[in-house]
Amino acid sequence: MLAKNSDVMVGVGLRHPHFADILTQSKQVDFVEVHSENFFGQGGAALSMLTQVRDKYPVSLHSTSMGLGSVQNIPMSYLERLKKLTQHIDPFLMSEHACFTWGQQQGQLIHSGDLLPIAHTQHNLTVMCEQIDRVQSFLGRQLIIENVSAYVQFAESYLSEAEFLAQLCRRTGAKILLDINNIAVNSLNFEGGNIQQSVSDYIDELPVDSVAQIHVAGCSAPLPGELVIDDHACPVSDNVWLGYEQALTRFGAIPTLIEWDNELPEWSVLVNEANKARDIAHAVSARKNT
Amino acid sequence: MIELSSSEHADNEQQRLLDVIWHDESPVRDKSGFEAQGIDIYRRNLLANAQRALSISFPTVFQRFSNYLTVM
Repeated sequence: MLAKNSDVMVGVGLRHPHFADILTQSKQVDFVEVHSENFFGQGGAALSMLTQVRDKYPVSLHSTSMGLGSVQNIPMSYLERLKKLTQHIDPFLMSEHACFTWGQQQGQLIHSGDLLPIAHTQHNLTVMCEQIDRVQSFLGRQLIIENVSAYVQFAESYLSEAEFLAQLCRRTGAKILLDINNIAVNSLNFEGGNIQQSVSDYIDELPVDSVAQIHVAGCSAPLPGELVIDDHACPVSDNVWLGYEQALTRFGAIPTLIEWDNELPEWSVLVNEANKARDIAHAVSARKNT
Repeated sequence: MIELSSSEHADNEQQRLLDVIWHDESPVRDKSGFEAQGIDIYRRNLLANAQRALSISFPTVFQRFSNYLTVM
């Protein structure tokens, strides 16, 4: 059953191997999310398929290369391509990460190829607010900013990531994309691994009206002594589902996305994960109404 | 580029992280401020992305030299 007006919208990350499934099967999810940069090419089969999907489903554009936390300005060539895609697809949500990607090597602007974490300081808050203001003005759209999983920490940080994001939203009008799995990964890697406590602490720092989308995902178990890598290659874990329930209880019926990027399963597996999210949302909603 | 004071330029933690991912051979916490285990993850991802890009853009070149492109 799909979302009614009062229910949570549940979508899945759409990757190329599933284009035929989504275009030929009956509607089983409420929206899809794609990585913007995969559709930056001029024309071509991928954009044509996405245009067909757009006629059937609301689309969320999730960017992964903008680097809003970068001290270096985001190149205009990138923003122009994103604007063109935005105008073509008319997404119902647009999101990016609270990270940096741009820097310099040997005097040249380079892209890091990764979502690199930032130190949570007032200085970096100002840098990122300026970048978001610039991008939102250029695109004429509100951005939703996602918390990231990280594998290193900065000694310079003195704000929590949640407090950083809350201030960011207040100053720019952007909203938060709350990734429950990223909180879980950071909890396991840096905070002792009490995921429920980490999620609880995180969401308590966010204003109730600040979250516009939720991501849930699963990741592979690490080898003994290794860090957990956020590979989006597994079903959503029980701990992340519990964290999702906590988040819905605090923030209400927020559009929710199932992310799965590696070791892609059959389309039906993604649909089943979406149904799990919908069941949890119904249970939370029913509990709130009693 | 957003203007930084000279002290902030000198201690730009973003550049420090990029430098250690791209150049340093064996980061140690007391030198770079970052744990080697985390830096290794970013390095492996950087190399994997580069290999994937090469295999898509220049598949023949990738096939010829893929044995030499081992993940660190």
